[in-house]
Amino acid sequence: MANSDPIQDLRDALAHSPNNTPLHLLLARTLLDQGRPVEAEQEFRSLFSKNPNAEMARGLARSFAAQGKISAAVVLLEEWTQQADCPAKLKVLLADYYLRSGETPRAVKVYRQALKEDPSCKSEELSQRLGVDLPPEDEAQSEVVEGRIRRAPETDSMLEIPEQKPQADFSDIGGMDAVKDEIRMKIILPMERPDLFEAYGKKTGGGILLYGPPGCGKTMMAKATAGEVKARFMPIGIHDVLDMWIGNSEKNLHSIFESARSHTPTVLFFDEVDALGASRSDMRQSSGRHLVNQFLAELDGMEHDNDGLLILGATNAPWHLDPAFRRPGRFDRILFVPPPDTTARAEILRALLKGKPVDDIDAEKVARKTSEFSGADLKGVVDAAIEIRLADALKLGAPAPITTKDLLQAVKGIRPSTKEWFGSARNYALYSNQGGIYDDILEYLKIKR
Amino acid sequence: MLQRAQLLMEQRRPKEAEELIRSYLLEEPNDVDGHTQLAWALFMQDQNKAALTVANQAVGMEPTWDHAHWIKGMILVDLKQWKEARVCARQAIALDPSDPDNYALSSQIYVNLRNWKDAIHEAKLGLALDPEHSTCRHLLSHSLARIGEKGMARESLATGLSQNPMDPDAHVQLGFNCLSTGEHARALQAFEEALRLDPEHEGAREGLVEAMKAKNPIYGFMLRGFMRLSSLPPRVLLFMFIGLFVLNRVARNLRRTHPDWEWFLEPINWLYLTVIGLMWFAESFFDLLLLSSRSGRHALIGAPRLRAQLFGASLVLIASCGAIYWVQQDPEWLWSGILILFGQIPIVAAFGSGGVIGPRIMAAIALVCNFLIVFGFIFAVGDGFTMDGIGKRMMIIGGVAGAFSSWLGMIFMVRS
Repeated sequence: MANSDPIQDLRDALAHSPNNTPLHLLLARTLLDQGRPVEAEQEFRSLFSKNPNAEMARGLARSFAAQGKISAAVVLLEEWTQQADCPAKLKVLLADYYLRSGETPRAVKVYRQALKEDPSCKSEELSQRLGVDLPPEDEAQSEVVEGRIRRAPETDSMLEIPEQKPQADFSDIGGMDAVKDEIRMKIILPMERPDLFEAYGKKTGGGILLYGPPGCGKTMMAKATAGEVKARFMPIGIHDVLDMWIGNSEKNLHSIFESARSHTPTVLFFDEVDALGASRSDMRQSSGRHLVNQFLAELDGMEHDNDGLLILGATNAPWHLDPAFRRPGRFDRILFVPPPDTTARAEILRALLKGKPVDDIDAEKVARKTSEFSGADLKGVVDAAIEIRLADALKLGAPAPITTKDLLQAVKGIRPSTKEWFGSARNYALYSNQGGIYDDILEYLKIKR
Repeated sequence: MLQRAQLLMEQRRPKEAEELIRSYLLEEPNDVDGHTQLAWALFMQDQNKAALTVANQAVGMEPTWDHAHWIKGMILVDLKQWKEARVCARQAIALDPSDPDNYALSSQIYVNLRNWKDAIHEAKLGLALDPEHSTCRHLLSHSLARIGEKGMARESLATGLSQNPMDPDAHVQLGFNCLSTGEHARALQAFEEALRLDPEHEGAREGLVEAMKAKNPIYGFMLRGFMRLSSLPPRVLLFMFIGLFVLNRVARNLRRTHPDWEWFLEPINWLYLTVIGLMWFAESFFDLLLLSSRSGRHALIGAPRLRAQLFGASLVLIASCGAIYWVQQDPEWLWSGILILFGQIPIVAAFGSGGVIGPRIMAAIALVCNFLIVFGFIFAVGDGFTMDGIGKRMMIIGGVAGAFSSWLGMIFMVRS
């Protein structure tokens, strides 16, 4: 009897003709198309090692991306797109991955370049998402595309920065009232009434560091803060700054600050700020130290005025941040963003279940059983509950609604990921709590010293 | 790209560094630097076996590069493959005798093998090349302390701390040095400083716990004794325990044949029981005491905390036996208390054993023994507080098995 599995057929054929590259490539592509990216990656790697060309690089990058390893795909494609004979479709793929990793301006730049080289490789979907379906001369003007403000660079040397018009404010975040109140008192009110705060010797603007376990809404809170103060929001990730060439990372950082200064009021948000401002004592390489020094100089605004610039940093590991960042004028106000409280968890659950077949879900009940769960953990709970229901639906042939019981059953199989973070945070709060910076952690963990 | 990866590793992001290096290696599959960095990134993520495979590839590509041998040696040390690690260290030194890191690796291997003399020699060679090499300094101080040269060890530590006062490892070593000389307050200070510098330093936290417990003069005395014993080779330790057991057996036999020698033989019996009792129960007991203070509760976490809590639970059971004896006046209940205590032996051994097999076997024995003891106790209570039914038999089997498991436990503990 003939084998009905095309992959097995291809493998069998390849066993008889191991050097048949087109057959090998077909196997790799089929694996990728059938949603088996790990195996596809293996095949593409093997092909790439024998014959590194653009086609193999494209396949390998797609395999990476299918596994969620977007940064690896980007790095691989960046290398290839540097070459003069790089096909335009590879650049289109790179633009897509830039967009997925939030690097919109880079995506726009690469996509435009690709279209210029080969207009036939245009992707309707990508064009629409990037807003690059207009002639380039019209696009040079600032425009809003799907909620994103894209601004043309002022000078050639200025790095394009993803700006977002904040669409969220505190009303979009359920619960977490204590954190919101603290942000209002420490950030929003000083910006709204600087005169009043300055009369009491309190500073306004400057930098604020949000820290807490991963997946607990620091980025969302930063976006909402920008929405509250009605400022532009510029999220900066590690890949926006770090460059493989010595000195370029510092230049990139300076460009980002310059760009933000020229469009105040702006909230400049550095996600994973410890990656850019790691403690210099841990560094062997001087390039890392130079970057930290540059960051400190930009925060100080010695040469340039930082008025109207609110700098927010978020980190899971504030203890790895160079202590110099905590000095006055830099990230001198530190806010702990704990895991979502019961109200917030219920809101998150409702949002996650939106559009899915559900029975009368008691979100509050599930929220009460998921203490210490992060937003990401709650997503895991919903996914697990869906899997439970899906198995039944396959048996019955009709979709069965997700119930509170399914969610509660799913909760039992998931351990809150914040536990590990609190294990480390507890040690820092107990033994290295200079100036009481981690008192919030002690309070959250109900530890009395 | 490799520089960027190195930067990521310095920022404690080995996973991201690994992805970057892997992409780089797709372009430059024969780059030995890329391979060594990949091995290091994997090593940082505790993927030692994968790291070793990559390190082997690096050594194969560039057999004359000492750094590749050094990385392989470091991974082998973590895998406890001392012999192979020593070959790598020798190779690295032969290829570049001017790199102190290579001597530090060699010294580290000798420390793990408890060959203090050679460890000192290698560390001194490393320090001759770089007097501020912190790893060589730690290894020298540690080895000096282990051969009983506490003064010289202290001097070496002072030099290290004057060169780098922010070095948590040096403070930890100073703390243990102070503990071994009975300077508990100073030890406490040193461990607190180490924890301030690195709150996740496991050695510093363990040292802090020991220093807190050593405030009690009995534990302080005992700790100094145990620290001296721990510097002895494992075989010597095992022979000592066996010798003590044999001495006790001989003394017991002599007591039967020569009752008039009892005044002399009885203390030997008590000495034996005291040593054994302290060995098995003192740590758990003092940990339990530590749990009564707030700072102790914060410091005592993980396995020792659980051990102390289990010991506390057994003390509650023993106290219950005492109370029943007080009411019933049945001496069997006093013996039950001792059987319950014996159930703690495999628990202590399970927590103190190393390797993969030791803790598992001891944990299984502990589970069975304590299951029998606890349910035996419940049956006996349910049987109208009588100690002559199935409950008694279960408790005896559990307790006696616990007592006999001490030998197996001791072998596992000494080996670890």
